[in-house]
Amino acid sequence: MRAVVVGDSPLSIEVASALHRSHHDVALVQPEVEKAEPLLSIPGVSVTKGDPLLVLEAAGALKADVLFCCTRSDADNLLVSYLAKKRFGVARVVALANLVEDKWLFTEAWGVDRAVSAVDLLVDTIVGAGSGDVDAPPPGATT
Amino acid sequence: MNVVIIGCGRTGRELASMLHAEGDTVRVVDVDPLTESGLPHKLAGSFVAGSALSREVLDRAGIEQAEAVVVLTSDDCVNAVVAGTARNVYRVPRVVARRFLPSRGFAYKELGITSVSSVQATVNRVTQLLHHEALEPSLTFGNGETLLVRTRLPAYLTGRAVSELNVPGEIQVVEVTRHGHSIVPEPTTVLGERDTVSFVVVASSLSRLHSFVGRWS
Repeated sequence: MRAVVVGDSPLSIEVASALHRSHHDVALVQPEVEKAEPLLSIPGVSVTKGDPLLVLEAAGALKADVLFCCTRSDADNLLVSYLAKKRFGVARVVALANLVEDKWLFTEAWGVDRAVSAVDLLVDTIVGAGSGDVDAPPPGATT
Repeated sequence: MNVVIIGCGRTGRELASMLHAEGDTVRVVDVDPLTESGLPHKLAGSFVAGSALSREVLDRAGIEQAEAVVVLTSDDCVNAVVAGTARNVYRVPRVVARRFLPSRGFAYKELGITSVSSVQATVNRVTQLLHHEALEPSLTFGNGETLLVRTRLPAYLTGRAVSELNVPGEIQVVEVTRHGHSIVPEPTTVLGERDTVSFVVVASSLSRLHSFVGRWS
């Protein structure tokens, strides 16, 4: 499977390495050049530096089966997801929601097939699965 | 008109004051509660603190009733996401976003959002003031990509046809005023001695038009 990982945190590096170890083709997109330097040593992982919105195609988004976007900005994650889905037709787009209050935006409307909320996962783990659901109803449901 | 402004910086404050003076009902949202102090007194009470990506904050700002949303934060991606949400989730009829990086214009286009590039507009205007002062535009379009320039026809071009001055995709004669009477010329219209000519010109082709003007004066 071909995976594109977009991120600016240690998480993206770890995910890229892990995917590579499970024998997937991995392309890592790293917005900040300095942060990308230590990654160049991961064999078998291609690294593309630069603004994720501008380098997705160069990173191979057109051929990707899955894209995981986990920058520290929820807005960036949403925009990258949107472009990956609408412009490059990536089959499966997974995005990280950093803040609980932003989670409601992580839907198909922004090209997100699956949202990952670190807070939800942690709360589920601490309190027991299912209890950490902080979802509010969609905006249409409030009226 | 009910207007929600996202971003209470210099532009947000100025816009809020102006719209308020025009009689609009304004709400201003900023993630930093300290920015409220920058708002004029008459707008006290119209400030909402919080992230514009939060649904609760958008609801508190009255986005459901908004007829227009203007997004002016310093983050291009936040602006695009908030503008897209205002339009697609809340169906706000008028949405305008600011963008900084010209290279990100395509993302706004992809989302179908009207964006205003303050950087691009400033660069175009300054370049024009530095290099083409003689060609003071009567009107600029979009973010200054094209301009309307009016100028008196130089003597040496008397007797030329309009089509000889047009450069496809760059310079276009759109109007001629002769003896106080304005016409839309045909390509074959012959220009006279005292004509005033209006050109629509692409900003990057101003120097080309300017090369005419250098010889004109």
